Amino acid sequence: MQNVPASPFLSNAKPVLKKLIALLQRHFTYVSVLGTDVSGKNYRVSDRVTSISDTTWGERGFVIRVFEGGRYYEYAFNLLPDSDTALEKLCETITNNARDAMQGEGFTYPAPVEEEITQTFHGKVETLPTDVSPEEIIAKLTQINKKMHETSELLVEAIATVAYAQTGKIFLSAKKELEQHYIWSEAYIIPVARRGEVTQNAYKSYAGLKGFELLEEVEVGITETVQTVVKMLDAKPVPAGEYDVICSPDAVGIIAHEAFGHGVELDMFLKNRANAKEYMDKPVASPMVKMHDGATATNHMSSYLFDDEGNLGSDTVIIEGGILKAGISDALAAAHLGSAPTGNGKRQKYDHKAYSRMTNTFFAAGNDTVEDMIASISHGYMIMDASSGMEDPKDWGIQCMFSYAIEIKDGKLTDNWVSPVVMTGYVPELLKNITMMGKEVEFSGGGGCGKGHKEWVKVSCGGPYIKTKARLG
Amino acid sequence: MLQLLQQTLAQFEGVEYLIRETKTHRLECYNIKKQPEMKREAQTTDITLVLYTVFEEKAPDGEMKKYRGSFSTEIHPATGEDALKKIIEEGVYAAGFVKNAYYPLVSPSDGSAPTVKPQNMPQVLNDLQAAFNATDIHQEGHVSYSEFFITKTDRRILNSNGVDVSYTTYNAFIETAVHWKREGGEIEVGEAFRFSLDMENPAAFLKSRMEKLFTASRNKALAQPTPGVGDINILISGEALSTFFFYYKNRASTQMVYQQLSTYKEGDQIQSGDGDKITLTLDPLMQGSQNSAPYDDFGFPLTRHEIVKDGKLTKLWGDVRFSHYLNIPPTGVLPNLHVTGGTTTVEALRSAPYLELVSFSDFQADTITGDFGSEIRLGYYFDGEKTIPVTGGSISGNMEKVHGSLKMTKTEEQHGGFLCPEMICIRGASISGVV
Repeated sequence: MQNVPASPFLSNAKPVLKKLIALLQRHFTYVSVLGTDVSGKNYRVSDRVTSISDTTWGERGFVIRVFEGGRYYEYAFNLLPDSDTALEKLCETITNNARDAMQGEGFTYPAPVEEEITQTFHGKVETLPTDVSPEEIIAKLTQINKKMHETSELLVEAIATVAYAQTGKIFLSAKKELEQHYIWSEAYIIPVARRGEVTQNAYKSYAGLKGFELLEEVEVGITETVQTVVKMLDAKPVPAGEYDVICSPDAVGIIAHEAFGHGVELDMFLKNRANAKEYMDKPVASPMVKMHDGATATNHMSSYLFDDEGNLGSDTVIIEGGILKAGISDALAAAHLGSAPTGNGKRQKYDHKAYSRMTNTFFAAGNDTVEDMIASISHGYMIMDASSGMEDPKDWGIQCMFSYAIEIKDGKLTDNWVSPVVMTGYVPELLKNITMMGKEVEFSGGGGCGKGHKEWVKVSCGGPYIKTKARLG
Repeated sequence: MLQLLQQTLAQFEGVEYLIRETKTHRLECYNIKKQPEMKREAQTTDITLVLYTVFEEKAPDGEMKKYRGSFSTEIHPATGEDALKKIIEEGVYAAGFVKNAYYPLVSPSDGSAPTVKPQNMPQVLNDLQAAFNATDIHQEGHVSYSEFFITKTDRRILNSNGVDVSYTTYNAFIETAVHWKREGGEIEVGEAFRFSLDMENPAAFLKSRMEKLFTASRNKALAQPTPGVGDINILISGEALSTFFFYYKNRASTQMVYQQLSTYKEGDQIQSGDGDKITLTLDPLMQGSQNSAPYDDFGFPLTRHEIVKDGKLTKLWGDVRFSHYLNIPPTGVLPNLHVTGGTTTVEALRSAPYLELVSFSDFQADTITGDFGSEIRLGYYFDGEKTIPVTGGSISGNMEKVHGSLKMTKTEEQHGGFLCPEMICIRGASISGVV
């Protein structure tokens, strides 16, 4: 294993940023700056199109946060001043704009309180993506594409991608000097099959705080994913109704994320947007449910030393014994609610606002086996491969979409597949109906999570197999 | 920066390139209820560089074949000459392994971008907030939060063929949620409004959309669980229609056809049945659209194109590359879609029993399979005698199985870069009711 190297861009920027903070401190009670340098590549091979491009998660810039008289203001930029005069000018711009912005009536926060802390974190990977040549990566993806086609003649397209983001961040304020450098990688295989007029696509994702050792994992699952898409060609729509269901860890992850991830983001409490506010210390799930979120709760896509507001990551137990125990917070929401920040203040990029966001969200393991779950169902479905989810934290409505499900009859998996599958329901009902939980937690980290209509960030989610009741359509 | 980048690129013989520079100035205001919570501002410059190489290799049939490689990267605007050289060297090397069938780059065109009226961004922000707040006057309901973004974007696109075009846009984005009291608590209805500031009266537009949102929230507070409705006329309105109709637009793209993800061919009757036939036009400069642009991302000049007429695919659309692959003239990548109104009226559609769906959790349609679905956030059920607001449950179906029965209103409504019939009616989708 080797350390992820530090960002020279941020190392060079640090002295200038410290000067800027010192200048701004003449005008404001509190000043902080987040500097980011996230770069990486996205490699993609399909039958007819190959590409290499920068990761869409890339960013390189700074955001200044100032506080005075209960009000915050932020200014984002990506060109550092190249002289002391330019630095003074930037300080003047920020000061004037902030004063204008803080005029008049407004929502006020208590003054930020920070502890003195200096810390640096370097993630470790087996293979730095920058040490692998584009030739090797394209050759590997081409080989995966070929293997997908060798598995079935029904494929009309076979897409293989791998991407990484080398993340460098610094956070500076009067009391804090934090630095972190880590890498996450993700890969997808997407076979597309056609028979007659019917076309189907399946996917498998691979992700983690890893380098391009991840490429070796992709081998596992090619045959199974192609067989899945071929099988989906014969899938029928699911007859609408309520069923006993077993959810795969991938499906469970999205349920955890949607059910009590978004619903306990504490900035939602400030706006009275989450019903969970009224249910703290009350039962919201089956007594066997324990749910976590946190940068340190596991080691996956959203594990880090500090968040985008300079607060250290933690492990929040959201639900324990079926009781709603705690939410996750950005610094401002925590300050307003009088709680300690949980290190969940994340930004899409440096030029976006920080919100309370999920990191790694998951249900803890139980004691049941999948075999016992299947055997316990007279008629139901085993739900596989989440494709998207959405929740209404105010009304506790939930929507999760899955690629397919397999019918269970008389305690046995059948050969009847249904696709697509839309699961809807009332969050506490879905979670209170959980009667069995598997022994092993698995995580997914492909894709991203939005808030409202925007603000995409990387997260992971997961859990064990669970058995519950759900409405499918 | 662009000058230094071009000078550095000139030192690399035979390297072709595309440069996109985007300068963004954005004012942001975040409010909780009517109180400003935080204001933010962003001033950024982003540069994308795409490097191209052309090479020949023996194809599997033994013939020499021409290929184009490419490599796309982001360049920080403060990057120095030595670092630029290294990026270009590494990029050209990487592009050598990207073996795509040859395609030409965009050539220079006549004409220039339409002049855009400069906007006083702080004033626009104030005006929009005032119009927005003027709607927040109800005793039973109120705005929970709002986020306002006013963005000026200056875009310049250059390539090694001599393309050098630029244009400016001013856009607004507003995200909000409204709460309305009901027995035992409150309900929420959220919405996002995206539009360009070239429309006649942006403040009046925002005000009218907010009034609709308050009406929807009042009705959601009264909503009952969606019943099982069986085979019934399903009426759909609002922004979900963009997902519904973009299915056809996406399948008509040269890239999807080239990749065999779509089976569309020019001249195909892509929609059959007894219903209203769709006519789709791509309009690059749709007034009020946040996506409007005179050029695509490669600097290709954009004009209007009708791609579907009365259910028949008349033209595939796409950029220079994928159109070249299919040996058809390029249209460029056009973001806005106009679906021509149909033959009926809202009143006529509401004259027989129906389930009218106006708000969804996240209406999705799979462009490859045609499957669509979503949870229902708000709808209205008319059983032939009375109309009740409903919520919960889901809709699912397949585009190919429902579009034969499509009925569309003559009246049209705009949702950002999407102008479409105000309401449509379909049969054959499955409704999973709550009761």
